[in-house]
Amino acid sequence: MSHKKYDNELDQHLADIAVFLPHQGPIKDFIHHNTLDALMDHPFHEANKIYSETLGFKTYLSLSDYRKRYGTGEIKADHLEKSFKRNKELAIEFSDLFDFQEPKTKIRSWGLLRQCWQEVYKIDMDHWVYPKLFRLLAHATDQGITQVNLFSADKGLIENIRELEGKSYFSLFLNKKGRARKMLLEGVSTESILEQLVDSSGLKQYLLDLLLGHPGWSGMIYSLDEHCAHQLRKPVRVSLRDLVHIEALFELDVLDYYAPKWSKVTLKKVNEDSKKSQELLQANDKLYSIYKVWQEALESSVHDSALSAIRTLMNEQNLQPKTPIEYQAVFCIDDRESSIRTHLEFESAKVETFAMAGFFGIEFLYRDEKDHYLTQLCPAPLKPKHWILGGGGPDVFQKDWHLTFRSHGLLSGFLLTPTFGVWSAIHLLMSFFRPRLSQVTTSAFNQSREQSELHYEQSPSQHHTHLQLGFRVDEMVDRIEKSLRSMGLISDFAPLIYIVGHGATSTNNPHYSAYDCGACSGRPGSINARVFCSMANRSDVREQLALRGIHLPSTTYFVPALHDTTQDLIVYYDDVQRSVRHSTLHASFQEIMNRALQNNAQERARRLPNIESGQSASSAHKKVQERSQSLFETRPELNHANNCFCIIGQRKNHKSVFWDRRAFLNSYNPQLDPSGAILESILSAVFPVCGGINLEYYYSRVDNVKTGAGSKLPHNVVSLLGVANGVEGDLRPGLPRQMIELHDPLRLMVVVEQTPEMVVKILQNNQALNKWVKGEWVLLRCYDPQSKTIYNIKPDLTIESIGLPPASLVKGWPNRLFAHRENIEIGILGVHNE
Amino acid sequence: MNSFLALLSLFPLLGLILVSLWPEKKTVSLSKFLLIFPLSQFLATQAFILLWLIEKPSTYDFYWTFYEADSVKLSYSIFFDFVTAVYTLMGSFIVFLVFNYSRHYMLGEDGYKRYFVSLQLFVVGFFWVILAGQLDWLIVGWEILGLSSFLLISFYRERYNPVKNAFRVYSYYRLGDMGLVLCLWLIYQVFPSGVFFATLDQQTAQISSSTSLTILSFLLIFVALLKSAQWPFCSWLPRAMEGPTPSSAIFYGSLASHIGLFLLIRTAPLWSQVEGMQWILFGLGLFSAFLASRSASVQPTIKSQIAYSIITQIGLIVMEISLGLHGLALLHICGHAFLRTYQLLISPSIVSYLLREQSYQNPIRADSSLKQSSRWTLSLYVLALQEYNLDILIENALWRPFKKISILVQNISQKTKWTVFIAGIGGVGILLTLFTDSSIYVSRFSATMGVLFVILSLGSRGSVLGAWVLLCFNTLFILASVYLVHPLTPNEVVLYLSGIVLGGVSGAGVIFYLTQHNQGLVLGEHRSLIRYFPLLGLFFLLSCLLVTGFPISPTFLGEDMLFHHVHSNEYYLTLMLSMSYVLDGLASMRMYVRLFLGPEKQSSLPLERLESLSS
Repeated sequence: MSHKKYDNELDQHLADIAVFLPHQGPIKDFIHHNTLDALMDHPFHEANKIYSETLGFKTYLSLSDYRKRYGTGEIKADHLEKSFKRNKELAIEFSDLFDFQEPKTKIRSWGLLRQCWQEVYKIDMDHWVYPKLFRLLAHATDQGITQVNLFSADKGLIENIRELEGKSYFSLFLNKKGRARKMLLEGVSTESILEQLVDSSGLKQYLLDLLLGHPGWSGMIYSLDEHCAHQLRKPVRVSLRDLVHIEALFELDVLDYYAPKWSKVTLKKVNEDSKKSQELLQANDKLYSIYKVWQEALESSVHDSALSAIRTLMNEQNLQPKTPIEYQAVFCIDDRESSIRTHLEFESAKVETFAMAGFFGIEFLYRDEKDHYLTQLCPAPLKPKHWILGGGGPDVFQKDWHLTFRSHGLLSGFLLTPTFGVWSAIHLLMSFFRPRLSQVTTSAFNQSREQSELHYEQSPSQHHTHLQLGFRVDEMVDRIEKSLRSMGLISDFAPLIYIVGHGATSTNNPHYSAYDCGACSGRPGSINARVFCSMANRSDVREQLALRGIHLPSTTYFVPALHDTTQDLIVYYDDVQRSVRHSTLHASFQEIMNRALQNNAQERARRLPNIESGQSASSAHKKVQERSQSLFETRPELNHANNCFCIIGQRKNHKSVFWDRRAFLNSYNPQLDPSGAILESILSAVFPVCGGINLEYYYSRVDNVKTGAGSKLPHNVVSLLGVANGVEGDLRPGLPRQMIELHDPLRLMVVVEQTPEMVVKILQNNQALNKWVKGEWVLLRCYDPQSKTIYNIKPDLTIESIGLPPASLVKGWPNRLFAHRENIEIGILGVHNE
Repeated sequence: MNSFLALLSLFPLLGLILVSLWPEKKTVSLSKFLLIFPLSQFLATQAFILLWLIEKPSTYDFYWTFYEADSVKLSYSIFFDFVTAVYTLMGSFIVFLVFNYSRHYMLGEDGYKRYFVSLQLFVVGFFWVILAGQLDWLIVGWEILGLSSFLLISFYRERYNPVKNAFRVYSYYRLGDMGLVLCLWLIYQVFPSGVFFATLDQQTAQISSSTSLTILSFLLIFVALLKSAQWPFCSWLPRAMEGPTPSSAIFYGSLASHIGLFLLIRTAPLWSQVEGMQWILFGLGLFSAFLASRSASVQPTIKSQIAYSIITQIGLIVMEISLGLHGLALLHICGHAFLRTYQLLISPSIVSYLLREQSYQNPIRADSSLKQSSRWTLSLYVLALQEYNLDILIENALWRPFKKISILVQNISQKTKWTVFIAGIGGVGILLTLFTDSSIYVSRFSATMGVLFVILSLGSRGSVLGAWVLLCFNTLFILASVYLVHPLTPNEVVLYLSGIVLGGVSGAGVIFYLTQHNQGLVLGEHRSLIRYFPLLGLFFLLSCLLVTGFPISPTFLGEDMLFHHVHSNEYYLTLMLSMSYVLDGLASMRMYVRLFLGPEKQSSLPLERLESLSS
């Protein structure tokens, strides 16, 4: 399972089991990733089966759910038939799709051995061990909640606990003279502790039971050890081995205390397979075959309508009179920005829009001069070598004594509670009527202030020796050139080009980081937009760009902006006073933008729960702003819910498609990319970022209780690392129910405007990308700009052209359309026809 | 004014009835009602207090007797004074705030209505406690608080931790309820005509201190401190934070955690009569405050940190009360309740707040002082981190003995067969009746058997119906034991039995129906049947409440009267009675939990055919 090989048996087992752990890091840097990323060597459906058979978690919708969707027409009959035929090697009948019942007995290997303690000795191990263990782990890894914390960062978890236990008069163990305590103090190896509990035959099974009994904590410890340590502000040293060590000691202690006559567990292989278990295994295979057929039918039902729309537009002659373009606006590829682009373009034909990953191709770490820490403002896997210093940023921090530790002390609490306590009631009352609670709200606009300084030019720095402060001019030129080329924006520049980053505003929300820009590592994109514009507006940069064939006229000016996707507000970081022409143009763009934002809010309100349907644009705009600041709003926005498309190509071929906010859109011009290098770099970002988002939503949706975080209402913040249910619960990685309840679990279909041969060539030479296609973790299609045909790129990289029905027409834009709550089939907007 | 007051006390009940009857699907109208009703409740309270301030009588009291026989007199009574005024005002305001918060926050959650029914049930209990004119009536509210607490902690009723902790908290509460019932018994020993809070100071001034008074005072303090999560009962408060955040805020942040303090203030004239009692209380408050503040400082989760801070401040308030500083205490209570409600409601914001603070003010320090710390500092640190092991200590001290007895008796009975075993018990009973002159021994024997039955029922992992029958039989034994020392009137017997018969039969009916439809129904595991039989679940819960003498059941009055009849020197009988009172509550609730709540046990088959063995 794991590629790494270890000499040590225990480490090998741990590495094998770690494959099944959630790999989510600390909540402050919420980065979407494929929940099953460690199983990506297997194809999607196979990995689903393996995961489910190991853990017993669900990896598909239930059969009744699929059947209901068939009933409502969401899964189309012809697609179901096609899906069935495509999978004819599976041993199922067509009638099974409708008649087969999910077996009551689930197949799952987790939990086989450890339940012995319950069954034989009536000891509820979870009850005795977990609260103590979680408290200790949370305390050891804490990032700022505890006021007194003596755990040392230079020592590992076990050494810390050993020192504590050795010096304290009181013990962490039930038996103060027991062997568990002695083994800790003597520094016995993990292996010999486990030997006491389990026979060597059952070791791996026991470790599986143990670690996956609390996947949240095991996963967090693993992530901190393996790849998230740099995200921590306070270093900790923990490893899965430490976790197993301490948990096994506690188990030993509990057994010695409550069942003094216990003996260790063993595992025995049963030789004769009973008939019943054979039947169960067969039924399970059948079940997963049925799931596969249904899932593919659901996906193609939705996906094909988008392909039809694209094909129609591609073949259409562009008859519209060409209006001179006065504005170009560049957005993030984020699905939430897909609708604002449509609204902008519909408001004025003078606007042209583009999209690329929201860090705009400039990778760096950032620190405001008042801030003590560097923050990464580019996709998480990149390792930037530059950093940028901000000056004069907003004062985002004010002390709010409700949230400080003051009131928790003995004396300070005594002085504060009777006096200022009464004010909190007034605070709370005010929050209902005038919600403006600065310290509980996280707003994207707090990242940067207009006119504040940014040191983005290179200068020698003392602060971070391994990083370079700022960029050299040639480094700037490289980045600007690459970004402009990748979007296909190298000529016909408009007088004003807006670079629009995005972020979100939410209140009382520990998952706030998941709402911001994923390409900026879960932060708003305003700094990136500002840096991009500052660079692109420099005359020395433009001179060098001209040498490389990109001639930016002196009348063209880049304007940075930030779009708040929750409130549908925009802030421009430049008042554009360069010339009279520019400032009048900017003023009228602002008007166009404001109308587009209102309409965008209206479109969003269509799906938002707790807003009455059929809102007018202005009232919807007001409502979305209110809910972003409301203390008790659990769904400030719907985030990436319902995403399932990613289109890489020229805007004109999908401009008038109604995407229903379900598509990641990336600008790309195949004519400018004869070698395929640009496409390769776009795909390298799209697959892990958009694919990761899509699959995390998928798995959090199909089993919200196990792989998702469940309802956020009882969540309790633990160690600033994550959330748990209540005080005694395990950490809950994944997405909370309020984020995924409107998501339909479909894999991402990536559609590329390029010849299939070129796409295949790229994949053949890039195994990291090919993995996604080979395992069908994303579904890849391409539309050939020459033959105007749409091709399916199959997992084995063979090509097949797809026959498609005509595109459907989406009517009633905007008011009638936005009064609907349900999914609307993707089609071409009929706005011109009415 | 009196009728205004009576209406005020019944107003929450009206709300409860309306919310319960609201159609499940009409969430929008329900959410509107949930704004209007608590608001009008708050305004009505304000209006009354305004009138009260204008008229300036220092107190109001009022009672209406609805049962009178022999020496027993039961009445509905209300007492309103400055303390009540503060509590009603604070309570109705927080209720308004939290309802308004929750009605948005909970939207889209399964069990929206159930949440508000439980919350309104809590409001009913809270108002009855603070408006009660007598201990009898206070207990009614007190038990309702316990039940609503159980329902809200286990709001996510299909998850393991909420259900486990709900039952655990309920077991603490039940212990407190027992303390109060014993108080009631002792009060009738000390004050034969009963006690009214309105005249408590005059009444206590007339009596000289006695052992009964001392025990009574200790019991009152025990009950109050238990409900306030003071030492040694600290550990339940953090564990109770399993429900949705606003429900934790109103219960454990504000109203429910401060109700014990109300009892202390209310009964201050009583316990302050006992010499030295106030210093004991002072010491306990100080001790709790200190220990809890240490625990708060090492908690790594925000809710448990707030929980221990709550215990700390309540400890300080206990000290204030012990010194007679009631005014300061009330101010402290109000400020504290408001603060913690708000803190819990905004607790999810702690992530962004602390990260900002670290960024812009104090970066987090990574240095540690483990090496330099003295052994005593470290010892206290370990203790605080372990929450003083109170959780395990209490569990071992209180519940393990019963578990052991139950296992022992089960082993004996399995070896000797049930029929022989029961015949044996019957035989001993008959022998006792025949060969002893005094019915006292028979009575004690009968009570002991009652307790034994309920212990067996509590420890049962097998047949559901068997456990239920044992539970019902316990009440009969108890009745017999009292009857033997003091003949009861037929009225009283009917009153006592009516609830039990009704509840017993309906409960048995539910169990019978369930066993018909589910194979292998045993008490050894959670069955989570509520998802298939939600109505039966409610019905069974009501049956449990009927049998165990919850205030909706006539048995409650019957039990009240049984205690009236037990004489002051019958300590053994009282002990058995109160034990059976605690345990039958627990046993019935455990059956409800095991049958209807908790995660559904999934039958699973390992992929490789392996078999686990413990050699």
